[in-house]
Amino acid sequence: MGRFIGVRLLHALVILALVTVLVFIIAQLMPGDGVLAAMAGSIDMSDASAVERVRKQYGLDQPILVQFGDWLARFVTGDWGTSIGGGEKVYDMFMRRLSPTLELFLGATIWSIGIGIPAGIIGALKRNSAVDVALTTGTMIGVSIPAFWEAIMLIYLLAVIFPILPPSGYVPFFEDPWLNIKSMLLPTFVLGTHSAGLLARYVRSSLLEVLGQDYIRTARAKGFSERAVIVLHALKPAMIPVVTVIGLAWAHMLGGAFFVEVIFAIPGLGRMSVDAIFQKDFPVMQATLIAVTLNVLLVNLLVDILYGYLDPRIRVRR
Amino acid sequence: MNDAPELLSVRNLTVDFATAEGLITAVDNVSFDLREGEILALVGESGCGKSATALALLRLIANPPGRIASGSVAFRGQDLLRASEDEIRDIRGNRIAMIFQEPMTSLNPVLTVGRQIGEPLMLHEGLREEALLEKCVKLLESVSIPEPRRRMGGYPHQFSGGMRQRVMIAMGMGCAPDIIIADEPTTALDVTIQAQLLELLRQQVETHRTALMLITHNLGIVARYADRVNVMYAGRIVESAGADDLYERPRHPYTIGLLRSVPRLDQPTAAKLVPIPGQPPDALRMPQGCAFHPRCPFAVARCRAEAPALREVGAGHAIACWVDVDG
Repeated sequence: MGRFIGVRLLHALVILALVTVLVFIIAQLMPGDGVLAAMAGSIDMSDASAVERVRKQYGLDQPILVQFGDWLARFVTGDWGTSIGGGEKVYDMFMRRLSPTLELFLGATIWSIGIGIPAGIIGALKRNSAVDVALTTGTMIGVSIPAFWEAIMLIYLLAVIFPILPPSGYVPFFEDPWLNIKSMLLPTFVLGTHSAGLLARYVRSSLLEVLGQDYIRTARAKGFSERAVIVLHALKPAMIPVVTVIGLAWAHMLGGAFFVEVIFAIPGLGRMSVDAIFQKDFPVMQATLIAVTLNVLLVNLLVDILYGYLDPRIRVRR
Repeated sequence: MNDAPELLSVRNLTVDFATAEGLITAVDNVSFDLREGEILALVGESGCGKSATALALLRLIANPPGRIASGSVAFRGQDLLRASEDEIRDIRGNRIAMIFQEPMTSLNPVLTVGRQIGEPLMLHEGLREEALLEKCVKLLESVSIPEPRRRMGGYPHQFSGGMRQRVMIAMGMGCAPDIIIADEPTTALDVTIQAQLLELLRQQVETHRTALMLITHNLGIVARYADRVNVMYAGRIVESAGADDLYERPRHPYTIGLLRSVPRLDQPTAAKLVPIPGQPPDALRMPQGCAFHPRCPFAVARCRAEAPALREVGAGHAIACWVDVDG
């Protein structure tokens, strides 16, 4: 198992290295001289010696490999440059917006697991019953409902008609835990709806497949109750494909997070990255790209480790 | 052997399966008895209903599509088909154990072998921790698994086919059951390993007076190990006799055909193998009368009209046939 994790970790590091190179190259591919373009207003571009001085100051006269090394060293030490839009340090901006988004992701995942897995299990156990049909219909709606529409309807229902929850806004957890949870209930639910539906469908089909296996009959022949058969023998193998779906859902959440953050006025990374793209705010885009990569890699690593735990056959397969 | 106490008494067992094309009767009015210390073979081609019979005894037929339509299964006087869920669960894996035919797929791939062997003991005998561990090690030892203590933590994929089947057998023997039902226990294995495993089962029968129901299509295994044989064809028992009697004087045309179609060591090598003509009947379109008549060289008019019931033709020898062919 240790070797297995080590190999996966190595894979992740190689991919991360490739992505940093790619992110750096993209910056180089921008037409013109990025830093100079940004300085255009403050220096006289026809003054060759002034331009040369600025280029030297920013290391732009160095060979590209040296520039990459410098950039990487700064990035690793937390110097991610300055946002072109607001002039703020990208690192500070990023860290400030990280916690609302993480909270959003975490909450959405809790919703999707909390709804999706039980719904899938019940659907599989009561296959083809009225309950199953109702659940299947529900999951279908969950998968296909557009997030922005769902968000508006829920705000209308739970903040306007029945004013139980705040319609939007974000309060950090450590400022007011209760208000934080109340204000995050809707956004996390909206973000988790899609993956809850997806998860329910995967759990149902995976569990049904496992329940048809010979070893389930063996477990029944041992004298286990139906509940014990499911809990002790069916759930673990049935979760193997489900873990992948949870990981994928998490990795894809940033896209949905943009809508949710805009609609619920949450100052998070989704909004920041989309804003950065529109404003061609390069330092912010670079930081976002690397963060997204890191997120996907970490989740994949976690999924792989869980896989190894759930399926002993994978531990030996290199 | 015949005066040993009766353990299991199956009467008129009928099992249906609902398929897209219609209802199939997989087991049709099957009756037989099983005594303490007896090895009873249930023989027939695949699809003849022998596995369905075995599963029905413990109510393990998947429902839907299967259904036990009628009959009774008395185990020590208790009707298993009418017992409550709790009562039947108390018997499964405890008093009556099953060993399944696919050692590759009948063990859970994600749980350790030790845990799977320990489960019946935990469930029925309440063994825990040290006592459980010791018992499991002993069981693995008894089926000759080397280094049992270490292998307990292994997973099924780390065992060979023969070893997995040993694990299955150890699992079945754990609670010292009264009856072991072994459904094709050795079909997928090498001949040498087959012999070892059957020997193991026979030892269990001899030392614990366990009754063994051996489900197989292998007539060689039957000849060597069984005391009694029930031959099944198209869901029915067509001949029931002591094993020696059956091999010496088979009296149902199907049994005669079956024995002629396999090589035998007790016959001159010049004896020709004769296959049974035709195919087993389509379960959806059972022929009128005796299911075997389209393939039977002795069939008379009555065979096409009326299905024969099992009738006594000698001491402990019964056939379901209108014509008593003395082979």
